[in-house]
Amino acid sequence: MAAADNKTYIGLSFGTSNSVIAIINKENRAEVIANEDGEHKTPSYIAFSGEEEYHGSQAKHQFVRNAQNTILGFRDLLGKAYSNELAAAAGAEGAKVVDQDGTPVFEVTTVSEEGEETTLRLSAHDATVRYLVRLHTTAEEYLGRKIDGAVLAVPVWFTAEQKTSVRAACAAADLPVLQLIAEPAAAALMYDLGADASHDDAKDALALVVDVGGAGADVSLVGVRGGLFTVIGTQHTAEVSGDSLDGVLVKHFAGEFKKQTGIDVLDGKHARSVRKLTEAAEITKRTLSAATTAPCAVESLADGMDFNGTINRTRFDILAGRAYNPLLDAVRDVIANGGYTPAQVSQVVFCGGAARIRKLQSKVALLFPESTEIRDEVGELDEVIAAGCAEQAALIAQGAIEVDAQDAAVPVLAKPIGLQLSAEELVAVLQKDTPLPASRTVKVALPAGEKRAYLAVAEGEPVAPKDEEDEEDEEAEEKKQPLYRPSKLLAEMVLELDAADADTRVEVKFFVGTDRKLTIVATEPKSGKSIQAEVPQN
Amino acid sequence: MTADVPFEITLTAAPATAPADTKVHSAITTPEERFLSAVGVYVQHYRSHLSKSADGSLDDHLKAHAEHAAAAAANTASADLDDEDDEEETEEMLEMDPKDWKEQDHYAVLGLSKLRYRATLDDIIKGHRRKVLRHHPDKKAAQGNANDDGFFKCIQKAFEILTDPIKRRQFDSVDPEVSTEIPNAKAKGDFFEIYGPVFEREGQFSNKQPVPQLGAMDTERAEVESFYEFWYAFDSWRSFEYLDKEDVDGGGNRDDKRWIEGKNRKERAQHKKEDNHRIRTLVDQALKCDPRMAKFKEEDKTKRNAKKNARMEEERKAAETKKAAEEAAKKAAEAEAANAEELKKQRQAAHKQLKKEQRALKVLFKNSAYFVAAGATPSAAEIGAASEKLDKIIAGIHDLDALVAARTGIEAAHAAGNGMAKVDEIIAAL
Repeated sequence: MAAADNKTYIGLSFGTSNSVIAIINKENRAEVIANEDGEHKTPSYIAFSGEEEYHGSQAKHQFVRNAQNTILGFRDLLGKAYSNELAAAAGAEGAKVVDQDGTPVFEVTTVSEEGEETTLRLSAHDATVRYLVRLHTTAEEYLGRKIDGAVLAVPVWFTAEQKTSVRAACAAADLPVLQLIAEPAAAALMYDLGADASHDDAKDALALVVDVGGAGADVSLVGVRGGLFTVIGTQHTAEVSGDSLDGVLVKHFAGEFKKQTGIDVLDGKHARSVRKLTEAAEITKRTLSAATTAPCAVESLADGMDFNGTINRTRFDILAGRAYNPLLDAVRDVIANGGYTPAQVSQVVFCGGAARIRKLQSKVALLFPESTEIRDEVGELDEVIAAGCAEQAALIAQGAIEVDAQDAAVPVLAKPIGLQLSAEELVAVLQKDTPLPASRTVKVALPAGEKRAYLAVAEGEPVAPKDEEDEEDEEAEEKKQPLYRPSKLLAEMVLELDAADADTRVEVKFFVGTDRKLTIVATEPKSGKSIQAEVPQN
Repeated sequence: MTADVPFEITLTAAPATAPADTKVHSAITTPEERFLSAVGVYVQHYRSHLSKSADGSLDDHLKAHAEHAAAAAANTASADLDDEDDEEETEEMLEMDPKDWKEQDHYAVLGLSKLRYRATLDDIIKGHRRKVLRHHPDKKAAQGNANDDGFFKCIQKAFEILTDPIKRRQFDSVDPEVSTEIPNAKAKGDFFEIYGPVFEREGQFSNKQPVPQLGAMDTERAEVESFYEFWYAFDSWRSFEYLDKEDVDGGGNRDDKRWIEGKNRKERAQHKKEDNHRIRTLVDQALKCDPRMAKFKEEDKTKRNAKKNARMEEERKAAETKKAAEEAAKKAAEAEAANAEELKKQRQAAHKQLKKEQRALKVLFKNSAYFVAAGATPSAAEIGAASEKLDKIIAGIHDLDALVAARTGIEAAHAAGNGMAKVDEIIAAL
């Protein structure tokens, strides 16, 4: 109920494997709604059986027996040209992908009531339009109102063509796009990273968004500077995903089944058995996120033999242990490529259904020192992005952001700028990656017994994290370990005061304009004494 | 807002190498470019700021937002404090027995008797909160009135009914404070002042919202017509369950219950019928009294008359043209006839002349004794031959002048004595 001038906006997370619709409820908060099947997430599947067309979980449920007529993974084909590798990857499961004038199209067979077979060719665009129309209807039926627009989240790595294709599909589905936002930005919004900019350190944050979805994982480093979000870096890995973890379970259960019956379902001749087992394993995996043991049962898995197995969480964690490594590598890479160290990451936030796995979270958390907040508390993780989109839609409805504001390249500080306290310590006032123009004022106290304020303004570089013992020492002294050490002295200033005591504070304002000129103004409010230094650009 | 003071720093003493005054060492490292995501509450300020001037500061967009937020907060605060309520709580109301909830005025209990059906859910929630704060049994107990929770129960009942959309409609349907009177058909005064509020009041029962308003004297005709159309097809949700008689002691047997139920149903239907009739009467009456309808009728009449006049004028004009045309035709015919007559006369005259000339020719033949030798009496055969020639000439020459020329030629030739030769010459020339 995005109330402003009676427009109804929704947030939509359109994923490779699942999509989630979120609305703005009466309290002006994001709320994920259920589809016709009563589920919060709608699998991105379209199936054709006879002359009927099925969507979402109805389509997914018949995947086992109707794979060749089930279209999946169509989102990632949007805006792409045909190539053999692409077709092989996309058509590995589900409907075949063939070339039609350079565009990859899915080929499915529909059977009319008279038993007449027709081959239907659907491009990724066609499939998406059909799917989006269904989501659109779901939302409208739930709300009982016409929907005037939606905010959609797309991965950071989506190319301009892919974004254009998403827009085109939405337009064809009569769902006006208010804005396409980056998935990590939506997550950051939902985790309220930049909202309370008035709160002390919360103004600036460096968040690592770990999004583990059904078909791949994205790790993004998001800088939050004065309430502004910049995606500093992102890494996509297809190796860690809900599906790959299902694969781990499938392998395990297939081994057990082989032991029980002597039938190897993974020998390439039991495609249908594998699909059955995958479906069951997915449920087992979800159960494991909540319970410590979970059963996996498939009736008539192969050759009429039933399968019954259980697995406990520890076992699963051991099995999947190595599977998380690509994700951890991606996390390290993203941080290093952004020019940061893990200690500087203030928050790690999780989203995506597979990020619910405790082991995955703790493995990621281990990369960071204790000072980094690890967060996953905003509700169901697979709904975070859709909810973030809805929040953004609410902001648009309130007029806080214009419709279809585009992400834009802006100049940002390449190094943190702050006050040098010693040769080893720098307090960053303006953080790295702060969009220009940037300004920040700090209050500084004078050293005991001094009447001169000596301000050394410098650029900094991150300090390599110390080992744990040292950290504990630092904590004992109730002093933060310095995050930065000075790398380049920019200016030195001296403010002479007539008198000073313990309550004297000097306000130091740092300002960098878009002309890259740094201005520092130090003022003592009581006496009104002030000095100013300007550091021109090179 | 504390945005200006993110944290506090204690400076260290100046090192020995420190200069005595400001000294600039080097410029900042060249900025990099990053993609700024257009999400969150601050982006818009930043963007608009950036487009306005290159000299702004990061804090400015925070400040702008803070002001915005503060203004919004002030608005809500003032709305919260808006204590227009304080309606008098009558002694009678306070002493009501919660069991008689059907008789209580739920709006009055929550201090909303002025708003009534116009009260929003928000108003109801606020009213309820206010009343609960004042009348909560805990508070009464603190004042020494233990077990005085009668009015509190009334408040809860009122809240229960007014927040349940179905129950609220049932109550609104029979709200005794809202008049269901329809104005007297012969009421004198301004039509719009009399009927406007009535229609507005009745509009609350409409399933279709928004309900068109009565409007004013200068309302467009189409609008007025759609207004009456709407009201003739009025779809009301008004229902009368609230008036149901209940099995008071609750101990009645099934038959009793059924009988009461049946009676209630009948009564409800009767009420509904009466209500529909009431609306119908109201609309009929309004339509009859509506000065705009009279105006439209008048306009129609003038229009119709104008049309009629125009038609008549057209007919008259058509008749005139027709008559003129006929006259012209007649004149033309007459002229033609006269002409023909003239021609005929001329023709007759010419014919007469011709005959005369023919006769003269015949006389010439006869007088010249048929051109036999002079003095000789023509024989019958000669006469016959000459007559034949004469006939040939007459038959051959129709032109008067030619005939005259022929005759004079023959006359002249006869005088010369060779009339016959001339006759033969003429015949040969034919």
